[in-house]
Amino acid sequence: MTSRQGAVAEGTSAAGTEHVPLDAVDGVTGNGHNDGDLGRVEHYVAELRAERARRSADPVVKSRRYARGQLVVLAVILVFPWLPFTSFSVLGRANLAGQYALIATALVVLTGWVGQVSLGHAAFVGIGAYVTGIANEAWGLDFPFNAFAGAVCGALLASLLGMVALRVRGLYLAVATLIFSWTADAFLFQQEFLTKHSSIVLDPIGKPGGYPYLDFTSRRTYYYLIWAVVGAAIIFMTSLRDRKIGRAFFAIRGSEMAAASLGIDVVRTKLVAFAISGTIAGLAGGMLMVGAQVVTTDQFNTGQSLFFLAIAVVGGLTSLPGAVAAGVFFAALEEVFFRVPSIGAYLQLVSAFLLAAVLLLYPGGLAAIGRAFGERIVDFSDHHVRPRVGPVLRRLLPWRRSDPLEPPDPETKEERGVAEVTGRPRRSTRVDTETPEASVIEVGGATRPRRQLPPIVEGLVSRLQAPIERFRANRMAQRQVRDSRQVIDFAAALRPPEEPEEEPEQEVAVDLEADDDEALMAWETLKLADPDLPASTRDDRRPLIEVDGVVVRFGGLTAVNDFSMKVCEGEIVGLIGPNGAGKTTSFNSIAGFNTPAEGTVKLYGLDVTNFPVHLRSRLGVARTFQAIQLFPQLDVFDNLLVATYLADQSGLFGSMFLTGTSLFQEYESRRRVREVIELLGLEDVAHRSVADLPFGVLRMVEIARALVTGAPLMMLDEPASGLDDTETERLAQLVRFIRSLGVTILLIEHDVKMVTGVSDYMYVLDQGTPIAQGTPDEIKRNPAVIAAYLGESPDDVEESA
Amino acid sequence: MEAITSILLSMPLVGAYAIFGLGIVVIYQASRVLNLAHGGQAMFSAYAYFSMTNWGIPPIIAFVLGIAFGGALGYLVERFFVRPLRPVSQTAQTVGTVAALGLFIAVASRLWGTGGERIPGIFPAGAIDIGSTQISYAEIGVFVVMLGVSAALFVFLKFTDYGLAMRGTADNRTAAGLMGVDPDLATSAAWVLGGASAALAGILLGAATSIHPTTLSLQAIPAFVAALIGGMGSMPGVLVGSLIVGIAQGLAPVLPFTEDIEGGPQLILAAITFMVMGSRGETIVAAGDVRAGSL
Repeated sequence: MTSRQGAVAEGTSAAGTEHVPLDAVDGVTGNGHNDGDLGRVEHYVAELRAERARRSADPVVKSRRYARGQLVVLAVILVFPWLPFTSFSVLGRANLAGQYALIATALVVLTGWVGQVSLGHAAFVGIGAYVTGIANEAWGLDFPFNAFAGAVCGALLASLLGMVALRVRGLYLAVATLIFSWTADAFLFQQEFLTKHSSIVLDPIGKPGGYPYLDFTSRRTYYYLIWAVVGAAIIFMTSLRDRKIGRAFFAIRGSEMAAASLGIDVVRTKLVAFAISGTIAGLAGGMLMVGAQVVTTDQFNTGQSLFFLAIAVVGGLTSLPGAVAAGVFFAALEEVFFRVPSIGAYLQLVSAFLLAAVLLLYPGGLAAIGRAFGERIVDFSDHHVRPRVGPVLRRLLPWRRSDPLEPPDPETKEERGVAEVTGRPRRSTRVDTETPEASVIEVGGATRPRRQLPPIVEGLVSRLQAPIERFRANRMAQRQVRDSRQVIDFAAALRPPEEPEEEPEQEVAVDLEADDDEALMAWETLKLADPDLPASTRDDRRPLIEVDGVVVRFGGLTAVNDFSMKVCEGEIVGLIGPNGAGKTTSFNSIAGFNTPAEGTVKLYGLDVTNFPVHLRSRLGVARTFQAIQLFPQLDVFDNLLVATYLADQSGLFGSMFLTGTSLFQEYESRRRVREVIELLGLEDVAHRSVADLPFGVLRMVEIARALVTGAPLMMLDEPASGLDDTETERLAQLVRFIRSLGVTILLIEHDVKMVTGVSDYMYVLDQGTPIAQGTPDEIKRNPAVIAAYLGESPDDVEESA
Repeated sequence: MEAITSILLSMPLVGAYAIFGLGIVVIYQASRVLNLAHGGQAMFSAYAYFSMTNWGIPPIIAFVLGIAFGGALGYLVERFFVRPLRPVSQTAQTVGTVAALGLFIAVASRLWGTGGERIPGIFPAGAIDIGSTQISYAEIGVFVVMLGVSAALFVFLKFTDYGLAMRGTADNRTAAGLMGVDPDLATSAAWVLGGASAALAGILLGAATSIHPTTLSLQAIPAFVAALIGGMGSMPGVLVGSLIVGIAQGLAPVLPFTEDIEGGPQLILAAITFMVMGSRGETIVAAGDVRAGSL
């Protein structure tokens, strides 16, 4: 049904395009399908849909698709106070909806994204409101500074809670926040010094009749104010979500271990989330005070905390538009019950019932309902509206100045040519990979692919080139300073290779395009420049990992006893041993997941024995996990994107306020991830949820994630466990391939065949004690090793030999 | 002396928190859900008991019926607010209990008003003099019943196959199912048990003080702390936790730091909570409580 509607819509629009030649220039919608051939159109629509499905996970693309919908929403919000049915009472509810939306936004950030359940947000809202009162009355701060003071105190209180509750999570945190809210209500909000200004007189800004004139007692003025705040919060938080810090949030929610192994400072990031959430909640409290100019403790009790969480949950918990929708929903509910006196007394009952109903019928909340509905209308808007409106709008935009009267510039022409030859829309991945020269532009002197970014971002990027270049040069200098101190330059991973044609992996990358299987075959047939490193030259190479006499105890059990090893630059070192030999324990003490009782661990010559996980990652160590630790809320592409955390130089404010640097870093990060995806042939699964993928692919994704970090040292924890023989064989190829990219590898396995096949040097553990080391050939002949695996004592083996 | 009296006076609170806490732990052990509706269930059952005594049913029979009613409530909460959300996430299940709590408070406010009620007790009226004050039989009753209930629960969970089935189900539903345990049945049984104990605590506490839709629902909050101190897992842990929480609450009005502070009990409770969090945090994590994407 949907497909037919789409086809018909496309048919009409295609007919319309004959009169608008400009459409032919537009890569996505035009492309010569204006002959009215329904079969071709249907095919085209199917292609577009598939393409969109492939790219729907890309936040940049997503934001573009919804841009029109956002314009409509914005228009509705702007004219709402002037509509005939908008009475004084309705306007009041609209303001309430804004307040709810703001509070729900705070909860979405903390609970939805970072997974830190909060049953205590009423406390932050309350402190925001009371401090706003104090700021206004006692400190003489006018709006908006009084509300800012409230927001800052909200952030402080939330950080305080975050700090004391940092070591717990999940339900324990829920209890802690519940108690916190309960205490705030019973103790904090009973304190005279805090609540004595619970009723304020807010001076209007400006003079009546003058401009600007903000009279806060006017509901209409307040309406625009609160919705502007909501809008700003949504914009900044969306921007945050789709960049480095937001991804770190989702990573922490998915797996704290994996997040830390990618260099994310879990503790600090959680605190940041608490602070951001507290800021928004405090601001909401301030706006509450500004709106009503009087507050009571009832508004901030424990019950309200639960209600606020209910709003966020009804909205879908991870979705910002959902939070706004839920705010409007609950405020509208109140208005309905206010209007119909006969049911007015049942408001509480019905709200509780609706919460239950929404939760049970639509666990994804209003956001899920909206998505289901949106999928049906998006086709229509894309195919029907766009060809008519698009060109007109686009002509007005400075960075899309293609005029139909002028000949199209060479670049566009070439793209169009490609599209026509292949019969595909220009934006298909296929076209770009086949003809890279058609899809690159000069940015900042370096060659970069240009697809993926929508024109509006492209325009911004090109305008911001000069300052970015200055900034980059500046940072380059900083980097050189740091390099001299032996710190790994992760940002290098984000820089395009200097001479791409000469790199061996480029050759492989071309071969990879055919097919996943063929690509792996290609590795086997392609003689990679990957000679075994002779053990005799070991001492000449720089050691990256040095483990010296490490002892790890768990209570009375000594899991690893006096273990020493060395991994030198460029090597593949295997660590094997039967199950329970202490392999993973040794591995974890290198990666920082346990602390040895004795001995030292050095990475890159630096003693890191007591370093936390994320700092070790910062030195340049990437790892995979025996039990796969991917981030279940993110798709494959975003999982890999999290790994650019260390390379991405943008900070919190850059992410939130969309500075040129952060855009540029985001762009580079995405390029890096696409590069690795192409390298490993993961294109087909790039936008699939990790929950749907088979185990073997997930292994590959985890290795890809480690590769994306750009760390020169990769530690693989039993990568072959759970793989069949063919997959193990491929994995061995992959390991050698990764080494050929210049990555040193430490491999932990119990599959002896695989390890002896790829390693340059091996260590063997048995029952927590190192029993042998040497080249694979030596290890294969070593009687102690044979005994450990076959269960005979070394003497028996020697005798039989 | 004053302090000792306060401690003695806080024994009923200790008893109530322990019964609440045991119910919370039983439910948590069986389904890994924090039942925030626990206080709501207690409140609702206490009101049901109140109505039954109003209809002329003798208190002792109404008491038994009220506990049965509490068990039924526990089953319904699990069946309609928690089980449907199991595929979504743990958070969603906990929020489901928030919805149930809201519904209980709302319905109770509609049915019985928000004025609060006094309900008849099952223990004889009267009191024992201790020092300058008195402690009623109803209050002593709460403590005694708590001892009995915790002993019974302990034996049930530790030494019977049903208890084993419940604990096994919490750890791994699939594996428990393969061992012949019906995981849904085991979970339901735990919720019935938890609901019944909530009703017990609600009625006893209500008889010793009074009942009110919101107040009684929130009286379970310290019990969460008690359960937390016990690590959400061990029965003796809950008892120790209840002792700490109950006595701290009872002492707040006489302690030098907190006697003049409004909300002193809550402040002490918060301090205890965060101290427990700080000291236990690592062990909680190390115990493998947190799995990837469990929230």
